Amino acid sequence: MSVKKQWTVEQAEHVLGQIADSIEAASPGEIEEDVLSSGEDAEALAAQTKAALLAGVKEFQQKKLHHARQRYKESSQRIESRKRRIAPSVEARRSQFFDLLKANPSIQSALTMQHRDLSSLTDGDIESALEELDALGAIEDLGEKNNESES
Amino acid sequence: MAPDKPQSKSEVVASVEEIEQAIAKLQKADFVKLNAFARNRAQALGLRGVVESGEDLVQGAVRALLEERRHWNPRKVDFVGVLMGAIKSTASNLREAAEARGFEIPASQLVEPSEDGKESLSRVDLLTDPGLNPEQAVIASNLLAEVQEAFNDDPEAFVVMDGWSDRMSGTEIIDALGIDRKAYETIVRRIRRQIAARWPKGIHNVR
Repeated sequence: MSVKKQWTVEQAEHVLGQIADSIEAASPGEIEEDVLSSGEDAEALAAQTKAALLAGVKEFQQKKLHHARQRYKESSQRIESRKRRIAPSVEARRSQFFDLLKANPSIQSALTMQHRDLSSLTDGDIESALEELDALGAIEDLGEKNNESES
Repeated sequence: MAPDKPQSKSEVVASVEEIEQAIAKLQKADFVKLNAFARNRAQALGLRGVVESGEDLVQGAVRALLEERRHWNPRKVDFVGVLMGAIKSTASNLREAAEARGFEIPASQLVEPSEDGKESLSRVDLLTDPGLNPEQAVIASNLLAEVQEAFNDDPEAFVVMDGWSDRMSGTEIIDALGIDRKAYETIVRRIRRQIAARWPKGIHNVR
């Protein structure tokens, strides 16, 4: 009987797909028998596959660790640059705060509504306000304005 | 409940611990089945020039589960089943990508067809396949000639494979050949064994 027929790649893929389905439907024992009858080392195949599974877990964990390190590095950099933007001493922070208000009248009026007398703000209030203003980008904006006026 | 099923309350996304426990509970035959399936998918990818080993696909399947790209409902499918699903999906994505971009084969992998006078597959059909570039066509031509040669002494197996290639179902092939299901399954098993024995590392390594 002539069985030679020309397959396209797609047809060959379909043949392999049918074989995949038969592997999926077979019991593990049956596939192990296939492997043994073809002279392959089932122990070695099992060990390779287990190693690949564990390598997948390890790769995921390393990636997760890498991401955690990356996030830590980024947040440390953010904190560091925030520290650099907020003045280091109490007096300098107070003057930085009022410079900011001068440059941002809308913020000043909002704060006046809240506190009435801005000169009564404590050092702690000023530091927190600066941190909030920094988070809003106001300190960075002020720095840019100062740079523009200097140049 | 099967021993390889995780105890997660959500039963949707598996944790590292659950995956490690599930791996520890697998038997040798489970690993072998997973290997056979992954290898088969790697062989199919080889037809499109995608060089991916069965182990690569297995490793990727675990990552897909842990990265929550694949969900696992242990009530519906066991650990080997969910991994096979992930492998199938990855292989299908790789195939689509290869089809979309074409692929590059190193010159060392390009093998001239044998000229020993044996009947071989027509390269004309392959060269005119719109999904293949000339390099792919040469590779595919050689691969298919190898498959054909592997079943030279088993015409029944070739008839079944031809049925599959024409998208015939098992039942249709059984009816066409006038055999019973047991005989059909015996032939299918012979095909599986021959493919596994002939290309232990995957069909893309055929020379």
